Amino acid sequence: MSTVIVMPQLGESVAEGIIGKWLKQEGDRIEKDEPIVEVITDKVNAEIPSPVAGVLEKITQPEGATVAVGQEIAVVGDSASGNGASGNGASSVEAPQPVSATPAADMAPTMPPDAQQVSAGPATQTVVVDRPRSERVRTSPLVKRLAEEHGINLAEVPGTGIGGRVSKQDILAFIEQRPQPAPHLAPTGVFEAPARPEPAVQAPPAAPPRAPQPAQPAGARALGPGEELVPVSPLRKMIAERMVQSVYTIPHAVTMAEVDMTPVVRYRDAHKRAYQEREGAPLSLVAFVIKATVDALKEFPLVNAEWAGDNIILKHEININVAVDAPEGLTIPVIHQADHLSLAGISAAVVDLARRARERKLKIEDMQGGTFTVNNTGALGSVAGVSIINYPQAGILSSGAIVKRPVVLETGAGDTIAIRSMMTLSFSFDHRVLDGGTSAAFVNAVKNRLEGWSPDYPLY
Amino acid sequence: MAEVTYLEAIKTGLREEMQRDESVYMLGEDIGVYGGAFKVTAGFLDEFGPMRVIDTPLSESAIVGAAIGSALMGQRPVAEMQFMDFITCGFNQIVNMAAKMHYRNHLPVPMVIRGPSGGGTHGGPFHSQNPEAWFAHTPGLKVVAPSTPTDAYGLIKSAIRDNNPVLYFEHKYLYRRLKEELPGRDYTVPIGKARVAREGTDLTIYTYGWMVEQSLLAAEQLAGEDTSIEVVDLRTVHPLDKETILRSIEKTSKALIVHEDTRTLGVGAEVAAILAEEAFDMLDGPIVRVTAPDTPVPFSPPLEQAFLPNAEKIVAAARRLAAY
Repeated sequence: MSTVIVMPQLGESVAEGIIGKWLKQEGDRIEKDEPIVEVITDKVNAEIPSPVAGVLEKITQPEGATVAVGQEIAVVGDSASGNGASGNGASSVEAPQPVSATPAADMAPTMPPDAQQVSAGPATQTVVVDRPRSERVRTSPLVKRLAEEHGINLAEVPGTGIGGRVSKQDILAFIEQRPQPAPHLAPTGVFEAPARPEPAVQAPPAAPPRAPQPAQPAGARALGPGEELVPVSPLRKMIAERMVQSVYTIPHAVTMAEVDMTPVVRYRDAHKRAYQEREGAPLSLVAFVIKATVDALKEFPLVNAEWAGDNIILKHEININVAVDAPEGLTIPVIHQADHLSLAGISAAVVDLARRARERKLKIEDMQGGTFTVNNTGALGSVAGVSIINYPQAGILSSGAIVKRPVVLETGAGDTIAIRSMMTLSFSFDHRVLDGGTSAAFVNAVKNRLEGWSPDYPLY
Repeated sequence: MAEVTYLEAIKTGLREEMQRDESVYMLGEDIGVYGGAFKVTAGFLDEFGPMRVIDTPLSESAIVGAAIGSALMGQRPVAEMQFMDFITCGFNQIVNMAAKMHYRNHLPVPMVIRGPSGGGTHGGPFHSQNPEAWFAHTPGLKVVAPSTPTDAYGLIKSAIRDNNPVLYFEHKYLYRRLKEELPGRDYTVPIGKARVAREGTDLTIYTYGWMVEQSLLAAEQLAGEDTSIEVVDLRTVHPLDKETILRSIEKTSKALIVHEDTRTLGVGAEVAAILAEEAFDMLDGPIVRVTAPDTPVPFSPPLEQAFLPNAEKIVAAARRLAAY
């Protein structure tokens, strides 16, 4: 009996893989679990072990080919029979053998015997080869396997277990009530073109569009000399997915403004020592930007919103995500109800969240519910930057570094050149929700509040 | 046939094997004239005579050693430990001699070591233990722990007929508490085969010994809460019946392991390891254990009550796991 090797599902959201390198050639003898091919996807690169021992009869996909999950990539023949004809006549005895009939006792730990796949020829057994575990989701091994087998995004399954965990019953009910089994396979070549692909084919209609997985030509090849493959952490993968999701679904536009931060700097200089002594923490500069942003969001509620197909969702709570450069990578904890906080309150929240992010002590609620994001790229020394929107929010405001520059001031006594503390605000917005006019007005509202910062502004 | 107790089932099995095969004989402390501390062998001396029902000195090492020697010479000894707690006095003979004899010398050691184990009778730290895990860890031994009169009857027969050293853990709490009608005279229970004591779909309780009874009580209670519990009675704790263990988890996806023995490195740890290694992607929840804590068995009845797992504790754990 021949065994058809198919492209494995190398991660929940992966629909295809690229044949990196055949480690075995046609005619080679292979042992069970011996790697036969390197497969590259945009999530993982993996050596695929053979599920059976035998002879590599046929390679059906050349190196470099993009192959949909579940599609045949090779055929391994039974070494004993040595039959050149891969299948049809050879084992008519076992004719259409459903793989799920494999007795449980034979169940190999890493290879679910009942993984459903493309229908193979009548006498060939289709086997999904071992796959690496994808990033952590709080479900269970069983639920994860079912999700992968049925092409389900677990985020779409309502969970009824403790803490909203998706249980076996939940996912079975979800599979049951789906209109039809989601197409497990994307036809080959769907993602081949460099053009932006359609949103994920398999997402049920009610779900928000999932980030498509564009082919990434840079990763889609074997390593050259002087190159090194660095495996990425789950957080890195998540960041990558979110970024792709944002960029591929939100039409970004950017507007910028130069802000004279001199009044803010003076105000802060006047208070910072006493504040530090009193509070035991610094008076954060970004707190001023957040405070001004929160006030401007109240003036322009459409900016504190989210695109939802035929509607826009306005958020009446103002919860500000603050971007923090944590050891593992970008982290964006939330200051909840920032409009209820004083300047000092915001400063304390920023300092606290940044500290806990670096100490890896953030709680789940610190990460949830954000409605708008402020990104202080200036803290890293950047003068101005264009940020990717924190999906699915409508905008992200980045503040650059404050630098002293000579600027022209218009005064009653005529124009004069002065040294001022200047900062660039850069506002990336979802052009489906906002147009340039509102966006510019919003940025100017932030700018005006900062430039007009009164020495009498209440700290508390 | 009338209903018999768990103890009478063992006794019946022993007697029938003694009658069936002349090479079967018994030895132990006070098993002859006195009929055994729990009267398992009462009447045996009269029926089979002093050559086949031998009262021994108070030396478990000598009892086991003599049994091994006679087994090597073609007899089928059944050695009684007055309490299974004292089996440790014969430990070296069991794990170094009986268990390894066939490996070293290709000589079978067809012997049974049987006796009362377990608590619930206020026996204190030396008369209440469940020392099966020590022996389940030793290659070359088989270890069984029946939970019902029928299994006690069927397993003692299989143990005597087996050509390997078999340790047969009776439960003294069950001796006179469980009653069943026994199947026919030729009935045996294969060693190495678990039994689904109750079918269910939501969660599997893996257990053995006295805790089977407690698990069934818990399952009955939870049935009233719409939770369907499957109870797998391992019956043999070594070698474990992987097939039955895995078949059940495939159905229920959640595993609760219950044993009366203390927690660390008990039989439950091995069951958990099998599930994690061979059924990882069948699991829809953490593998949970309900066991005695890692302390000696307390003498004080309220403390013993707190120490022992029971239906109530099993219900609480099963409820949490079912909701997970």
